[in-house]
Amino acid sequence: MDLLANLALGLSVAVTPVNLGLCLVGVLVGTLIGVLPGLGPVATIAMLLPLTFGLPPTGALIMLAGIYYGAQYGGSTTSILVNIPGEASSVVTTIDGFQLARRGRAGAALAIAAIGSFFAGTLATVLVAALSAPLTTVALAFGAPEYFSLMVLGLAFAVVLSHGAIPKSIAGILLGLVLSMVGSDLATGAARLAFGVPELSDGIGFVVIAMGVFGFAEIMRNLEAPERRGAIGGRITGLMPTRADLVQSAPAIGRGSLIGSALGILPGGGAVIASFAAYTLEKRVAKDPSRFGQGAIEGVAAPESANNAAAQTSFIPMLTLGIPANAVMALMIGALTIQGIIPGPQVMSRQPDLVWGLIASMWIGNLMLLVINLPLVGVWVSLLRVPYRLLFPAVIAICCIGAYSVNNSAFDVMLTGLFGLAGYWLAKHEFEPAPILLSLVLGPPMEENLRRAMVISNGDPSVFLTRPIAATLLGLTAVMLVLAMLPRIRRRREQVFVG
Amino acid sequence: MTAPTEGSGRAPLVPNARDFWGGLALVGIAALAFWGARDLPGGRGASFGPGTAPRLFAGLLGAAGALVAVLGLVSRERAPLGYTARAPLLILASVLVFAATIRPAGLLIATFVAVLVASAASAETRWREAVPWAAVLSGACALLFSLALKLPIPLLPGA
Amino acid sequence: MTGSRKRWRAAACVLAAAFALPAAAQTYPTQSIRLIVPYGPGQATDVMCRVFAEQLKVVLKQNIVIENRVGAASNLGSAEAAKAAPDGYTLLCTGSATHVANPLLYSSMGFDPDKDLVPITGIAATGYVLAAGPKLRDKSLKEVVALAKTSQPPLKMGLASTTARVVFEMFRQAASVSTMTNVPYMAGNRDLFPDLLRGDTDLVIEAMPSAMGSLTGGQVAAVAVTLPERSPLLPKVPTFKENGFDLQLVGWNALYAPRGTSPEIVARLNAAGREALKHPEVAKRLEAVACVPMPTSPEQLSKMIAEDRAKWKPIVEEYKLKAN
Repeated sequence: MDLLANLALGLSVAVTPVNLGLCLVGVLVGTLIGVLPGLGPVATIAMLLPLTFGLPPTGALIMLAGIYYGAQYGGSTTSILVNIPGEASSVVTTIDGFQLARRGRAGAALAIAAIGSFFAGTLATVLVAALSAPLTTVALAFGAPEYFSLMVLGLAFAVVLSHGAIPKSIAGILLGLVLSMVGSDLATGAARLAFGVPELSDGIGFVVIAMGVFGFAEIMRNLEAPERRGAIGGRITGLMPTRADLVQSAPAIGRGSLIGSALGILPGGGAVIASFAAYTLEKRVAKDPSRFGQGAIEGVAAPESANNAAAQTSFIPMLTLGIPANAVMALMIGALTIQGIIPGPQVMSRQPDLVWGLIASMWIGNLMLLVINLPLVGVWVSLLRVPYRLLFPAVIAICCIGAYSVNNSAFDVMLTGLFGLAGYWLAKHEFEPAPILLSLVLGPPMEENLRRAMVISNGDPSVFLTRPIAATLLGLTAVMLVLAMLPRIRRRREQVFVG
Repeated sequence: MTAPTEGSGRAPLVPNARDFWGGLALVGIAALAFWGARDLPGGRGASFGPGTAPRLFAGLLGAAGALVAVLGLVSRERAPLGYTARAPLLILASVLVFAATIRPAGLLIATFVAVLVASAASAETRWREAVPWAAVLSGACALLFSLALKLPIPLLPGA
Repeated sequence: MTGSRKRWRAAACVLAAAFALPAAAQTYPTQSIRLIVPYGPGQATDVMCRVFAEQLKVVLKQNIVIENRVGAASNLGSAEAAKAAPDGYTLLCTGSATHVANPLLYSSMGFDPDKDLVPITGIAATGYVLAAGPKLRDKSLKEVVALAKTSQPPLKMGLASTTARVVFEMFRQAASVSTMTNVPYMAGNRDLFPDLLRGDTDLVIEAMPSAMGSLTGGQVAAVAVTLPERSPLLPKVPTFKENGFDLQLVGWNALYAPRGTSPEIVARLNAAGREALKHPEVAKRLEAVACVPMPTSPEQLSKMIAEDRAKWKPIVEEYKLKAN
């Protein structure tokens, strides 16, 4: 069978000592920069790019890919330990991950994240190997109207997953959209809402807001009310997940992996939306949805599996179509072209060893991450035993350096501090930060795709109804919102009648 | 920006200050965004201009904020809203100090000073411990970021 | 910028140069060099600068640290380089947009690219390609033009950069095509070719390094290139010129230093840069991304800037392209 032959070819390429070594170096470097907030795989891969000139293309790509998914892994670690998401796709992990840490169960959360990611990676590897050709056509089926509809659906997930009042989560999403408008107009380049500040002309970066609204605001609130910290800076129970954790997580990991694998193929925001979708799905199917937001282990298992699966499948459009899902993929395309390989439809047939070697190495890399990270759980958890009065200044110092390093800009550091204050205010008024961050990330591509959809349809808005995928996604959005409103309206009416 | 209400004792002016002021502040942000987008050309008919989306989102934010504020007048608060000043302001100050010193003074000094200012934010800080800790942290950060990761960050003044 | 500040800076530059001169002439560089790239890591300019810097390191026998300072279409990072100490230890590597397009598009760039920077050498050059989707891919340039004149609804042209927009307007003028819909992809070219492939757009104009991957697939085809001669990478694709259209445009990037950098250092860097670009490995890597090495003298580079800007000016003015 083709699939087995392909995987066998891939394994034979990936397990050469050199490629195994490069994979290990990649995942180690990736994990390190992933746990340092602000430092991302983009800057690191750019720095290492000249080094890869001397490597064979397959080895170079294996190492760079290792950095990429290693960093994603590390980014989840900070989500759980200090409430700072490394990238947009680990924002949802903070919701229950950090609550688990506060309840002394950071170890279980980290271990489940590791196990879930490994399972998701395995499933995605098989899917990529078996279905990459048909999946490629799926990626091509998504044009501007489809992407716009997908993003609207993504925002609907954010409404559904919040545990507060619906008007407030909608207001939060709109706040994120308004913030996302700061920057330059996509079509004309005109500065928008930048108020004459040149540093704002490219918009407010994700790192700035994630660190400020999540990390710094959390520290401010923990300092004013020490009892909020829970177990952080003190007693921490059990390192490993219990049997009950595993039983609860298993279906969540399965569902998250499937959602992530499917949405990861879409280069425009698929991975981010996958993590939100996986979390929302778990909350909806749970017997007791109120556990979510209080430290539900499925709230870590599902999005972590989803984002890892998506990270794997996002290699499909990169390799077969040359479409980068994000800046890291764009860099890898750069690395490949310098090697004389132009990603595109023929890569699969002309360079099977490269493609299958990479795919097999991703599975091996995920295994390495699991082996490295399970023992590391103890190290990370012991960091949380450091007294809080010493822990929090260290987090601030590392964040400041990280925020600076993104653009080598002191202005960004300042902005991070101001967003910390804004996050403190938002938390006080019970506006949840995760939906704000999602809409901040999705705002510009949403506008771009809406505008483009209107141009390519010659100004006819019915394009959203006549293109079947777009219409289906928008219909799904409507159903989800109605489903989300119904129980709350019923509850309110009950309350009204009882009161 | 908002007036915190004192919970106990007399009846509060607004039943749910958290939502009421929160909503109003969003209305304010929406107004600011609307004003900031005043010079941007909008589109005609179905076509978009640079100003269309900012005005659309700002308008919707204003409406949603107003709704949240109105709900704040008719719902009841579960816990009183209370701010403190020390932690938020000193943490902010610590980050701003870092931003102001990183270019002229370099990583070692900026980290040291920022850690000290941040330490002042906590009532639990023991200065005998905090000062050496700041020195250790700035040294460790220099080792990690400048020497190991080779980030282009100035390490010392004038570098 | 105020006049007095300018004067003060000029004086400071002279002073700095005077101090730097004796030491600099013989031994430059004695420490590692900061090379500012005002584009994000992985973007075409960044990749070209990294390829170049890798070899320049070898020639200068000194480390070069690349710093990506993204912002305001390269203006932020370039302004930072322009304001750095003119000691030869801060340099700028940027695309032609900084010197050609931005002065025309931006009312304020935060610095003056002509007065605050000195050119050192060109690095690499590339062209733009007009490509057609499944519907038009078998047509020649002349057939495409004929269709564009009559098509109803108008043909849709995908454009992913300001330069592509300018090429588009040049094309419309040269071919006297009045109606054509411009579909902008200014946030990045990711969807440019997928949309072309799906038929959401009919044509695109894109820089060759970004277009090569999609052109090898066979489902979209190159119609013409803006180069003066055919590209060795696309030998079958004609130039606009050979079809009788007055449209020729080369995109390039180059190396600069802050104004006030001593002529000795500029000369040393120019010689070193040319030597680096001569290395066969550099040429090979640039060719892989559809670029050719473009070593120049500082004077030639200044001349190219002036010529390109004169070519752009009427178009930017006619179509009221503006950034802020």
